[in-house]
Amino acid sequence: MATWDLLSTATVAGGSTSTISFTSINQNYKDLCIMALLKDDLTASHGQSGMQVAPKTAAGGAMTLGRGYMYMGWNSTTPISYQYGSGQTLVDSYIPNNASSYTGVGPQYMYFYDYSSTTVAKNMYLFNGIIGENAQNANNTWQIHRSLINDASNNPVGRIDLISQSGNFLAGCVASLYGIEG
Amino acid sequence: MADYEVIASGSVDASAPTTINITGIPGTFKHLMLSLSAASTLSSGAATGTDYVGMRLNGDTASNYGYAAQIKGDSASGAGTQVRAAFPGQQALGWLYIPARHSGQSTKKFSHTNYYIPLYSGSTFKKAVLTDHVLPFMYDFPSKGNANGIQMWEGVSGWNNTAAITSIQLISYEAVISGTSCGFAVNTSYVLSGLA
Repeated sequence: MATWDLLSTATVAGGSTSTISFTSINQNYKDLCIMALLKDDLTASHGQSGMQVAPKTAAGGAMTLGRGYMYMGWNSTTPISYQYGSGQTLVDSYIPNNASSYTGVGPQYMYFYDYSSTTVAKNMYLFNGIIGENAQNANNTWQIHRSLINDASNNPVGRIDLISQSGNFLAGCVASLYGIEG
Repeated sequence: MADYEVIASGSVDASAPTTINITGIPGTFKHLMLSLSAASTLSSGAATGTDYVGMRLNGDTASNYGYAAQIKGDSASGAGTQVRAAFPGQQALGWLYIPARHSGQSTKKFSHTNYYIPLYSGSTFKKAVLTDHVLPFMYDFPSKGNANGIQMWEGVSGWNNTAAITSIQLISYEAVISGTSCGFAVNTSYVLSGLA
């Protein structure tokens, strides 16, 4: 029976935390999962900030990623999908910022299949969103993002960075990394 | 405490309860995951009518919830549709379509939902839920009267409260909000898991 083990939890203490890094990831599991709640300290009135996920090799080397991306984004009434054939090293998405009176947060669910394998191409799934300014306010900040990501190099994932693209994560943000036995 | 632990699980009997209540959720975990397989006994009204499942937290019945969904419907014909919308000011989060039990409809069809609830035990931020939801077609939605195919939802929901979550109530929209005589169908089941 597969079990989940907590490998690491990062709780942002404040200050200048632009990147949450899970390094030296234990290679004794089959899959990885990250659950997180993120928000950064930028204050643009539209309420969103760029967020990036960077899976890397154990040595910290960039992976060469392709991905399919579907989302409903800020101020849009049309679902949007993109395909990025290859050559990316980062998975771009969005988190809420800290604009005045804005209390939205960004739930994150990420799953990495066969991350430790040296013979299987890596497949990763990112599902995240932004909830609105408040539950009573009909604004356009509600967002949903889904990405399926592929790295064809077969390199094991030894490090994962969660990056606030232009700001710093707020104190209290949490990201937890779990290893799942095969 | 294991790093991943089933906190509660259960299934519905033939009494068609209008709510499913999970209480006494300990604050010792960091995140929650809830898997739900659901259907409604709704059988009155048009055969195309359906029910929804909503989630209330800590007994809050006020309009303190909101959600957004991106929906892809597909029938056996292969035709699909996409809808996106945000719905703030709701009395529960994530109104999700679930199969009904109108005359002639299968009693074997259930929806599949995974709820992801990060940092449920914290009190700094308000609560957010990711919802991954799939259900079988057995009614006209949207205008696709076909017994086959599936519909997929991806959603994000919010509760306008920062309190740690100690209880989850799943409710039938038709029963609780509309007052229709129905409830969750027999064999509706759930598993709530805690992640350290």
